[in-house]
Amino acid sequence: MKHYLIIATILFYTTCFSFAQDAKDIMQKVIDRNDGTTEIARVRLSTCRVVKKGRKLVCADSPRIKILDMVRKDYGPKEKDHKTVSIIIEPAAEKGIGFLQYDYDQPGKDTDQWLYLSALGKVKRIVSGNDNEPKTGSFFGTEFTYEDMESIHLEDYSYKILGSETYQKRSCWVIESIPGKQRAKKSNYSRMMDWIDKKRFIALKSILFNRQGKKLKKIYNNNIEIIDSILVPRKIIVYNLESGRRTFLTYEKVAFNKPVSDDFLTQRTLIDGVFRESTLKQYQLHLK
Amino acid sequence: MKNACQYILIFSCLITFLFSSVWAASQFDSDDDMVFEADDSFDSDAMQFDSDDSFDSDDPIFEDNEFVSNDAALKAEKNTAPWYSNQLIDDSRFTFGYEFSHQLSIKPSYITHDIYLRQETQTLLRDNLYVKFDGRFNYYFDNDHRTKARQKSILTDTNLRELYLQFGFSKFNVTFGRQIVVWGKADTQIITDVVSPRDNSDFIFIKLEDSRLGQLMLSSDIYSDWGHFFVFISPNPLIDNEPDPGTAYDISIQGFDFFSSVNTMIPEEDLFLILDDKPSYADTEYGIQWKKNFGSIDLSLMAGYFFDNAGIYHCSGFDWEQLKIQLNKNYHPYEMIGLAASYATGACLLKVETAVKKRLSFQSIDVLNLDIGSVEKNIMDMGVGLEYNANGRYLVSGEISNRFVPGDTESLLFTDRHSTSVYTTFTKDFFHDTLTFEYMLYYHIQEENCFHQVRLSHDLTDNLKIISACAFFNINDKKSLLWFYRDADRLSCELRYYY
Repeated sequence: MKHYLIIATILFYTTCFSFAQDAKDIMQKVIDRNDGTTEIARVRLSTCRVVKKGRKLVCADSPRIKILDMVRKDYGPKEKDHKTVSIIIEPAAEKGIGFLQYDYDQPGKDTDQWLYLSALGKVKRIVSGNDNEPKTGSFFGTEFTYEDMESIHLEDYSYKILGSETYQKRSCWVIESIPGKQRAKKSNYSRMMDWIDKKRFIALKSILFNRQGKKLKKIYNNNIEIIDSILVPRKIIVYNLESGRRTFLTYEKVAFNKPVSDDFLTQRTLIDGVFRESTLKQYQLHLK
Repeated sequence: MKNACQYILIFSCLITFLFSSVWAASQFDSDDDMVFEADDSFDSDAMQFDSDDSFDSDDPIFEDNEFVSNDAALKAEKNTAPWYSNQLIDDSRFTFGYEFSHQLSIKPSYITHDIYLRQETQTLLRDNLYVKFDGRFNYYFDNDHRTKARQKSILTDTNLRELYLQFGFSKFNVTFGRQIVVWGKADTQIITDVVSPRDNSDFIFIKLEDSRLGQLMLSSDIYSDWGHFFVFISPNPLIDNEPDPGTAYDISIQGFDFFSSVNTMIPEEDLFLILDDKPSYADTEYGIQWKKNFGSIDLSLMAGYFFDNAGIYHCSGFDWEQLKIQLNKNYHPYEMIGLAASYATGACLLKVETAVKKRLSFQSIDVLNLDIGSVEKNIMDMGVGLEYNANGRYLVSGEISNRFVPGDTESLLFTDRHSTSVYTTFTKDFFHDTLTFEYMLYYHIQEENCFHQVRLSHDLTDNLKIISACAFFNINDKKSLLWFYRDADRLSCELRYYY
């Protein structure tokens, strides 16, 4: 009898592990989905506090709008290291501010970030914060935090398929991600739920729970299009349930897998006006 | 019966395991075949989850009527103006500002009261030709200290900060015109940031980024695998812009303390005749900077030949016609080599900057012979700073810098062997980064002088910003230059509209 119980227990846990593994495999597919080796984009960020008007949520005040020109290139054997340069076009008060960021896949390796303030006329290295606690700063004043913009490391979370349902007429898995001990220390979220499109392996919707376990944010990936053979949500909506604010991140124009010079992903782009503008002008001819 | 239950239990587990394994294998057998039917793969009915989590029925509907300017062609079609005028306007930023300040010790008078219009244009004229313009027009009201000093009802002036052409090539560029060059990492003390002179006409109340003055230069940036090289030559170097005579922050030469043990106001026009010998076209500044990034370390080395941006007075005789002591104000050359580095680790950024300045001139005074002159010294400036970012909650930075002047410093005016100062800031953003609070403390260790400033900057809209600041001085050393500013506590407010 004892033996049977042991076997049964082993089989039971193996089965559970098998489901967890499936969820992980799905998330692996989501993370590994081709996002292009390079990306050139003009991005618009619009943020406001919303109030209910009939069935709709409308801006209670004038939205804060930022428009950025952005160029990204992936590096490394698995193209998991990213170099990104962003230049603010609007608002006028921040025009010309440049931001260069190097993200590394290697666990524990700090992101390198440089900021060019046109008013100050110099490139300044910045640090984003301690790795052992959550980064609370927002991304350009929007409802995105820097954590929302970071690449996800598969091993940082445990996954579970909660079920399956149709969302936006697409058959989706609902997958729960719980940060592991190390990740939990530095994450703003204690739990995430993602609606993963079964055919396209893209999250259509996510719910993020704060460290106390309460729903904090909802993220919607809308207007999903195929551009240069890359699946891209042209509009991402973040709705912060705590602050009652929302951000629309819209790819006004975007192109993928176009040639981008390594020199452009350096500090030269921030300080060398003629190089930045002439190179960007060439790149932006590809935008759709 | 017991055995049957055991077998059923094991069997059911086995079936479930096999089912899930087969299902998983069928899903992910090939990277190329990622499309599969949901119904075949997953029995949604069998895996229902808690109703609270499973069905998120309260998806909000957002109003989405924002204008998205994604069609440049449409813009061009509507606009019939010539391309260059469109481009110039698109690539320009205009700032309209209104500012006033009030010195707390001289109620209710204004110190500054002015409006200004600033234009900043950076545009590509050709594929490899770029132009930058940064100019400002100021209008001072009758109660502004600069207008009052000139005894006028209004005062206007213009300030051309930068105007240059930049020619770009694949690995280098060449820039000619009026330029501002910023060197080094230190935020307060001038250690290696010696190229561009500064506007001190409003004492320390002009923000560092606005206080730098452009000067005529020919420069080049060279980008190679060895790093970034920057070389420049400036045929007619400019000097610091000092407060105009009679303005609120003009102390002229009152620091020359011949006659009293305590510094007293000695009106310049009563005793001295100043001849300002500014650098001319024969006095050329030149320098080179090398910069390279090594992972978390940014390193730069600098060297150059400069003219001191602050003048040194020399007694050159006595003007018998006007019965005044004749002083020549000279700007002495010196050489500098410097190093600046920063290292980022986690939440901290460590900054180090040092410079050796050779043959730097200091104001000297010979009380016995009633002589004013200069002494050349080889000195060392050094600064160490640390910035801490509390994961976006706030930012704290601290910087300590020291100037070491070797040898005898007894005869030097306002100069000690060591001059050490500490500078700290605390910055925190509120209301979704639209309100910034900044506290700044400057403390000079030897002089025990202290300066505090609280600054609030609020973005009322994307284009409208209000900035208010309050500065307090706690000056203890009567022999320091800051003694003259001991009552300069000031409240200021500025409204900026960008378009």
